[in-house]
Amino acid sequence: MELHDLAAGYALGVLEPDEVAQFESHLTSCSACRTEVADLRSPAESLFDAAHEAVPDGLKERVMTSIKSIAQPVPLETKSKPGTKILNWVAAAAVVPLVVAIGLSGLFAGDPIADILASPDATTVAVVATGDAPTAELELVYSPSLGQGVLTGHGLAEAESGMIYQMWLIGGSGPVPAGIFQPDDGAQLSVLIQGEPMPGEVFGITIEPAGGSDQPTGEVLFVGEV
Amino acid sequence: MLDVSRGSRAAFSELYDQVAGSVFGLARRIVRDPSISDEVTHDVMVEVWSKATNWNAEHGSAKAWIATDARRRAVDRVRSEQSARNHLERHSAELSPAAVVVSEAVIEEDERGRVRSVLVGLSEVQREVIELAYYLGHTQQEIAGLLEVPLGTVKTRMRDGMIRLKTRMGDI
Repeated sequence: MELHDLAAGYALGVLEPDEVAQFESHLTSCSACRTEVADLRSPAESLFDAAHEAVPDGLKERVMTSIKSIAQPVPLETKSKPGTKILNWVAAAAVVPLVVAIGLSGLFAGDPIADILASPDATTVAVVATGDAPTAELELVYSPSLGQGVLTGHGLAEAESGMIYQMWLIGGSGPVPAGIFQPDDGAQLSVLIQGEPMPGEVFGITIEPAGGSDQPTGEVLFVGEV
Repeated sequence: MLDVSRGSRAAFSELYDQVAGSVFGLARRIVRDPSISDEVTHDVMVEVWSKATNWNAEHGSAKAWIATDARRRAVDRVRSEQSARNHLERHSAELSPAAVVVSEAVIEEDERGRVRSVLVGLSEVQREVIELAYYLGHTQQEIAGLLEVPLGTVKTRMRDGMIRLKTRMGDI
């Protein structure tokens, strides 16, 4: 019963971090508490709304300026919880053009894509279609000093519904997943490659079921030699 | 929120207009100092932008997430700038002699109306714990000490108060 007593405080957001952790683990096994928390969301929101005051002049401008220099992280995890996967991927696909714009403008310190593109030892490799692949101009840019690479280019058609592009680094031990992405149909794209592209490896792109695969199941549509 | 997580600055701007006033108001009630409240609001909104892709609808509404983050940051500022003891003493002084006058003593004239209208219908003791926890940033443990009642009583009053708020909202 003691944990149940934390439901109101949780809905109100007034618990201490250790209590939050305790209660969240309790929530997974207590449907009564889940219901209570859901029921108490709207009164909690009305208390938040009631706190409303006029915001100081210039604050919004400062916030909008601050976010210009902050890229939203592009989730590239292939293993995410089922409930979050779709949201993350929708977000990732849409954020790609933004990241490109930011990367090219060179405004960004701390953005891995910009860092790679601006790196003095950045090396560019053509990523070419293997046959009847969709027409697209793609390049792999990697920086040996940073140990990271980026796939950039344009003209790549969006994968059909339920499918997604997946990158692979193919070395002596076979293909290793290097991230999945969904281009904004044909638009400029820029995707951080997961893992370090090593000289002698082959970089490949396939189309896989949404969420990605552990091993390629589709044809290799594009390749590049690192 | 989904549009914000897709990197839309226009969507973020709209979200800012919806919530920044409440973020600022909540921060100001907790930290009191307007310029620190301004900084807290700035930091909360920038975090909303940078973490929008992590936001998960399963964890509740975007507004609840933002409200919790705002309160958390404001409370952290208070705790980092003075010991919890000083803070407690300061509010104790404001509350004296009787803790039941908390709303009159702490919530300023122009602020009082709105919060009052939301909390109307609650008993004095229910309103008191909600104001102390939510608008003044105290832990339930601190409130128990302040009011000299058992922790369980604080939790019960908060829960009863929230349920009554919910019921009242349903009646409107």
